[in-house]
Parts: sequence; C-alpha cells; structure tokens
Amino acid sequence: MKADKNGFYGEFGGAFIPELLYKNQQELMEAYIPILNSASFKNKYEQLLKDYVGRPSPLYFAQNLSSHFGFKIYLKREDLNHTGSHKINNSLGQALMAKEMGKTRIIAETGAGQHGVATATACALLELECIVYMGEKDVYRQSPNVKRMQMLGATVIPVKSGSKTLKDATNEAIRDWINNAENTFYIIGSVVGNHPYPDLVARLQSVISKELKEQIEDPDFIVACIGGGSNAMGAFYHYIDNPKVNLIGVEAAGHGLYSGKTAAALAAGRPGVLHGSLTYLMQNSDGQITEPHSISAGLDYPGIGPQHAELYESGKAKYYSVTDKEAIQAAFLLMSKEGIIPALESAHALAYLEKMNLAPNQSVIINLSGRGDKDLDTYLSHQKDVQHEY
Amino acid sequence: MSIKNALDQLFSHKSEQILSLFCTAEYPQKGDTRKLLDHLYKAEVDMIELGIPFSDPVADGNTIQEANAIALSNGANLKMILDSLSKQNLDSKPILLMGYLNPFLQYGIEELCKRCNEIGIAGLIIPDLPPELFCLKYESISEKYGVHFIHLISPESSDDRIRFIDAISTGFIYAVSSNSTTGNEQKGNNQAFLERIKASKLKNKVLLGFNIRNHSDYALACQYTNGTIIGSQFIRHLNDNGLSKVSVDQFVNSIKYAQIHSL
Repeated sequence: MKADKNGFYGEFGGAFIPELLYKNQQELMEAYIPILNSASFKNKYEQLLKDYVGRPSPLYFAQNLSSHFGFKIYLKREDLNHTGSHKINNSLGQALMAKEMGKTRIIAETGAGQHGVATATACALLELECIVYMGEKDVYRQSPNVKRMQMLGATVIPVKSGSKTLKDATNEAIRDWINNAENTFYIIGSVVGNHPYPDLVARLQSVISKELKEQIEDPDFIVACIGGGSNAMGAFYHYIDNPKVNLIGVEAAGHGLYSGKTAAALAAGRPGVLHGSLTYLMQNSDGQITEPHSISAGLDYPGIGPQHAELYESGKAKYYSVTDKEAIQAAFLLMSKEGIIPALESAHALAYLEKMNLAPNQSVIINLSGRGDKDLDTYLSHQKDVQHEY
Repeated sequence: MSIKNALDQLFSHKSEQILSLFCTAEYPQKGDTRKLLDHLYKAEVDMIELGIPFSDPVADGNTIQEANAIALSNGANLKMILDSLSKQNLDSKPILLMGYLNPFLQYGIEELCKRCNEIGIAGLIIPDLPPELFCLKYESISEKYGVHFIHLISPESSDDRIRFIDAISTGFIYAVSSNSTTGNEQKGNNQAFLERIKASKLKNKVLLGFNIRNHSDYALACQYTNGTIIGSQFIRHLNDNGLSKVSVDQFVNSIKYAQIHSL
C-alpha cells in the first residue's frame, strides 16, 4: 500500500502539521526508506527481533476454540513477544532509526501502556532518554504498565486535558515535539499521525504478515482489532492484494454504536483532520472531536489510521465492531478454552468469532496482539457477570 | 493575485509597529466576542485575530488550550461565531480568523470563504494547513473570495522554505518567534531568526507572534519585522483583569509604550 508524494492513500492521510514540525517531517521523510533498506539497520533490527523479542511469534492452532466454534482458528501469538504485545516491533525499529538520525531524546504517547512499555524498553536497550505521555484515566486503569515503564527508566507524564486518554496523550506528545523539535524523535505507536508515520509503522509491523506467509497457506480470514490500527496493518500488510484472504478489522463499539459511548471511528465517524492526517474521526457537526469510549484503553481513540480509511473505502478490508461486553466474554472464553489471558484490545478480535458462520474446513487467523496481564483488574471486576451468563 | 480587503488597506497606510491582538472567540463568557471587538476597535490596535475554538489545539500552550476548552463549554462553534459577526457592524480594522483545520473543513472551505467575504473578514490563519496543500486545493478559492490565507514560518524554516512561503503568500507572513507552542514562558525572541527575516527582504509584510510578552519583546520585534501578534499574554491579562475597555487599553498601553516608573 503506497502513499502518493504528498502522503495520501486515496483521499486519506497527508501531513497536516504546523510549520514548526516541517523540518522534522522532511528529515524523517528523506531518512526512513534509506535507513529501513540499509544493511546495517536490517542486520541490527532482524537480530533484535529474533534474539530479543523472540520472533518469529508462533502461529498456534487453537484446538479447543476451534471445536467450540466448528471451524479452524489459529492465533498469531504476538502476546508472546518480549513486553507482551506487537508494539515492540515498531518501537525497536523507530528507536534504532532515531539513533541512526542522531536524535537523543525520545517521546511517545500511550493508551494501554503497551506502546509506552515497548518504547521504554527499546530506549533502555539503546540508551536513549524516554518520556511517555499517558492520559490520567489510563494511568489509573493500566497502572501495572505505568510501573513497568518507570522501572525501565522512562518518565511517565500523566495528561490531564480533554478526555484524559490516548487522544490527549497524543496532543501532549505533539506539543512536546514542537517545543523540542531539534533533538527529539517522536515514536508514534500506531499507523496514525502525519506522513510518513503510517507508512513507517506499517512497514515495521509488516513482519507479522511476513511470518504468517511462511507459517500457513493462505487462510480464509485474518481478523485483528483496530484502535489506530497498527497490529491490523501488520497482519494485513502482505495480504492486501490477495483476493483469497478476507481481511477483517474489529473496532471497539464501547457500549454500542449508537450509545454515544463508542470508539468505532469508521462506523460512527466521518472524514476530518486530527493528529496530522485526514481520516475517519468521531466528531460533532462543528468538527470538534468527540470523546471516545472503550473498556480497552488501547482502542479508546477517536480516529483510525488513514490506510484503514482507504482500505475501508476501497472494500479491500471489511470493518465491524464489537461491544465492551462482547469483548469481555470473548476474553473469558479464551481463558477457559485455551488457557490464554488476552489483552482487552485483542479480545475484540476474538469476539468477532461469535459473528462468523464458517464451514469446518475454513480457517481464521486471529491476531492475538497482546497479553492481558495489564487487564486483570478489569477482568476480575467483570468475572461475576460473565460467569452468571455462561 | 490581487486581493484587496481591509488587511491590504491597513498595510497601504501603515507598515511599521503593527499590533495585532488574538483572543479566543466567546471567551471568557458566551457572547463576549462582540464585547471584545468593541473594546479592540476603540483601542490602539491595528488588527484583530479571533480564535476559533477546537477540541485538540496541538500548537497551543496551556493558556490558549484552556481558553479553547472554556469557549467550547460556553457552546461556541464556528457557525455561531460567524453569525455573531455578520450582525456586527464591522469596523475598518482587519479581522482574521485563526483556528485548526478540522472545524473549517467540516464547515466547507469554499462556503467559509464566501461567508468571510460577505461579512468582511480579511483572512484565515490555519496552522495545520500546510502551504503545499493550500496551493493544491484552496489558492483559487482564496483569490475568488478575496480572503487571505496566512502562512507561518519558524526558526526551523530554511531560507529556501521561507522564500517559497513568501512566493505563495498574500496578506502577510506569520513568523513564529521560537520553536514552541503558543505562550511558552521559557522561550523568547530568537535574534538570529529575526536577523534572517530582515535579511531575506521578503515581498510580504512579516508579523512576529508566539511568546511576545511585553514592551521590550514588542520593540525588538518591530526593529526587524512589521509588527507583532500577541495572544497568550493578552488572554492572561484578561483572565487577571477582566474584559473591559479599561483593561484592554491598559494592556495595549503596556505593550506599545515603555513603562515610566515614577518614584
């Protein structure tokens, strides 16, 4: 999936940034492809993915879950990566790039804290200063990850503005970038932001589908959850022009698409500009961004990456949404059937299985983007409701 | 391009020591836009920038972020602000709207420019609209309706970049004093940048904004540029002293004239 020279995918994307960031954006534009293609970067990055992250991540045939649903279900185990999610694929790549470009200070935004932890980890390894912006509400609901970041030497700055979640953490990271443009590299955690970030992050995450191609014949379906959409882009990347494989993105419907408490930007939003790109956003008629809601901090974002907006428009991928409640139930089902505690984000992809009606020989890959250690408090608080319903 | 509106009229008779004040619309109270304009018309101010509030003002520091949030909680939106302006008998002082792209985009850029033309709004300052996209999509609209789109330059802008922006600009160029969000109290004038602006001999007028706090910042800026834009410091003053004629005049005097300290 290629952007045009102005960074657009169809009508989506671009680089809607204030002039203050123009030089940084240009610098990254000129540097990123040559660096990604250089032998020295490739060697370091691939070695680290193998020995440090533990890649390739396994593709696990979930026997019990498959019997339960009556079709073949495979889990791409991104939850087994070092730091517990797919985020490390991106953070390590961008941190190596920052180092190559002579930047000494790293900033990042985080929602669930997975990107924050991955970035803090990469910075500790590569001896870079690391500052992570995190919405105050997320600091509270994902506190184990805050502690992990602090243990790794990062400074976590709680963001008190707006909805105090991922959107506001991103605003604050961009402000920091404007104020420290000279020495700072902004490691964006998803396929969002101004061009070339969506492309850069998609390329770094594309290792997921590159491995899938070696692990399995073309599956019938690949299903991934979508906040900004980085794990989905990674899982879709090498299958986008393959008509045999159906690509499915699952947004967080929150309390329901029409409840006013949702984070499903494609289903409940329309195109607009936020955080440097033109994409689907949840907004009111005046163009004010509305506060999203999802039980999952990592999906609690009012937009979606511009590549997904284009895949949605072109029909090359299909997008659905599941509610908080459906995600929780899917997580408990995976725990009981397979002994795996998924991240709340990944539980949204799992919940889509309930909506699939497939033949026994058809196959589905669920991108299990992260593990659920950080979500134990939320799961425990819902344990009674779920048991009651089973 | 030949746009001729209130901004061009101002520059035709004045090109030095221009003072433009910025304040978020519908701030601090609902309905205050009109009061603000009345006071500014009567004050020694050459130009007025009205901030259109946005939920996610990423180029702004705390003061203007807060003003945005309060204006939104007062129920402000672009349509209502434009309606309040059209009812107003606009003065000859140029008024510009400054805001982030999304609310303008949702309103419709052409529709907005048409409306600006009817009301008599001289220009738009949209920090997250890159000049390249302006050229691609909105230059002809700007010309058609006689509305200037004002572009920014910063100390990070190369000489080539500054020349490019000068070539595509009309009205004036908004020079950002330092690499920072608005109202950053740790950052001030960047002398090297001011000298670079002066040496560039640009065809457009240049006004310096961001982090101008007092008479000495203003006086220094006026030596190198055609004047200044003050936002955060003006809003802080209004926060402390209220929105009244006395308060606005007091602020304008403190910027324009060196303070004489009597014993």
